[in-house]
Amino acid sequence: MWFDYLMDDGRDSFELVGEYKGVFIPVFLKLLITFIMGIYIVLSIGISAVSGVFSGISKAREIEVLISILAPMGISLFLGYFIYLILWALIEVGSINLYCAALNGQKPTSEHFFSGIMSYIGKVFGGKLFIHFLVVILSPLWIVLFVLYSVIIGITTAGWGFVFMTVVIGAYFATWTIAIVNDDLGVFAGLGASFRLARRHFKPMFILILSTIFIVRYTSWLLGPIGYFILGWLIGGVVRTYFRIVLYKTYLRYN
Amino acid sequence: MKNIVKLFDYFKQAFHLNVENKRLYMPQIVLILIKTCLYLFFGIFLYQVMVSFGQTGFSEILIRNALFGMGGWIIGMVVFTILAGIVLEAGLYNMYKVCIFDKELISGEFFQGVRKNFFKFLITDIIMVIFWLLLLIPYIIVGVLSLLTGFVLIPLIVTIFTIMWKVSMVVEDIFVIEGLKRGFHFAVDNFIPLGLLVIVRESFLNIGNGSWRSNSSSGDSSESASGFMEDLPVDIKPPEFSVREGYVKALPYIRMGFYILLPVISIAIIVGSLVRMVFQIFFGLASFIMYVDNNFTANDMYTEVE
Repeated sequence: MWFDYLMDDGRDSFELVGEYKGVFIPVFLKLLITFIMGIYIVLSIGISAVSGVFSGISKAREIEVLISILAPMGISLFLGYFIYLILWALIEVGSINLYCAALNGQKPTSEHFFSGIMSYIGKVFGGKLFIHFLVVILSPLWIVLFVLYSVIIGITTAGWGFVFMTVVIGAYFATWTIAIVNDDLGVFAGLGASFRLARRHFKPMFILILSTIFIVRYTSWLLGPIGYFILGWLIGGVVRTYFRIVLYKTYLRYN
Repeated sequence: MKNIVKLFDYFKQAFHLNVENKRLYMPQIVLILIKTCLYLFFGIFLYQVMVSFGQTGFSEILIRNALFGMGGWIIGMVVFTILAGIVLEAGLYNMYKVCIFDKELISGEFFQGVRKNFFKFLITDIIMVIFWLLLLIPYIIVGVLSLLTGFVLIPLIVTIFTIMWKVSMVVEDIFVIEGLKRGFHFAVDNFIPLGLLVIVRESFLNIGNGSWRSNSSSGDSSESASGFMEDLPVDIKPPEFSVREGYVKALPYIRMGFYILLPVISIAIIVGSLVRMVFQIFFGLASFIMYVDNNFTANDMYTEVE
């Protein structure tokens, strides 16, 4: 039965992360990326604002000063978005390689992390870009649908409708990067594999994503609001890594 | 590690018992329906009060009667919710026990459980209330000194040490103090796996109660709003009609609000409670299975039933 398989995968993954602690290294890398991106955003906004004000304040009108501040700020934020996507794809591909090594009984090392990065980073980056592009292009449609859904289902279910909608969407998009790296697929084939898995095995995927969201959220806040900023990223990251490995095992099981 | 890994087997068993014994849901569904009806009646009562204000005006007697009526409703609903909660827990725990030892429910387990466990659970809850009242000031001090960490961790630790209290009372058919001792010893012996079970359980049950983090600034916002109104350069004159006239004009909108809000809130209560019910029963069963697995062998289980 699907729940028994899910629990078996959960148990095996628990033993696996106990044996190979190296799978948690990407948690620290993610923190590093967040740190770098934070500094980048603060610096770029600060420099854009200061340079825009100083270059135009004496002779330009208000609107020109505003444009001279907003234009470089927009460009640097756009550039920052691309840098973030590349770094995210790097960690995503590296993490999946680490999980793959652990699942094959090998001790995860930096070699595993970097192996295959060049082959897959482009696909994962492109896939993420494509998803974001779709979200932006289809925004009028999904905003209308979201408002309707909120009024009809979201409010009348005391918010559970929003939780379940997030989980369902998460279940359909959960394994496309794993499919790309594990099965050497293209972006669309990877997305297709993820959708097929969710459609054919919806119950385990739903429970897995629901558990991931609930438990990561709760454990991140386990030490209170201040503890969240000091250690929440670590606890949440460890729990999220564990669930990613369960997800990987679930993908392997049904494929 | 071995004990932690066994949690997955407990979840498996709990899931199968859940699927095979749908009658576990009946008592809670009945309670949810009664609670929803109570909220609905309270809403209708409020609606009638609002309409009567429009017809007869705001006389002192009417306001006093309305306040007494509302107070009575609220006290009645709180008392009912507490007592019904204890009745439900007492009956359900017996159903869990029968499920685990007999593998299936026949009939009458709920009321048998209420008869056996109601007063034990009532005493347990009273002790817990007294315990929290005594702990309140140290809890606040530790919570503040630990930079708010204590506010989350202390209830969690208390839950870990008390979660098996009622379970041990029901499974071993013992009284309150003995149950407390055995539940506490169980928590000491199995702290890590039980802690994990409690964390997973709380993750699912607390998802609807996460607003405590965002409520702290509400007072500030109202202050700033009033300040903003005072700072407005425009001299806004009060409207030239009495409170009652204004109320009568606003009454159709108040009525419409009731027509929309009453059914919406009722459905929200039903759906929210049903989702929580599924998680509550699943984790309740998992706690029982864990306790039984660590205190009984397979032979003991059937001897116990006999």
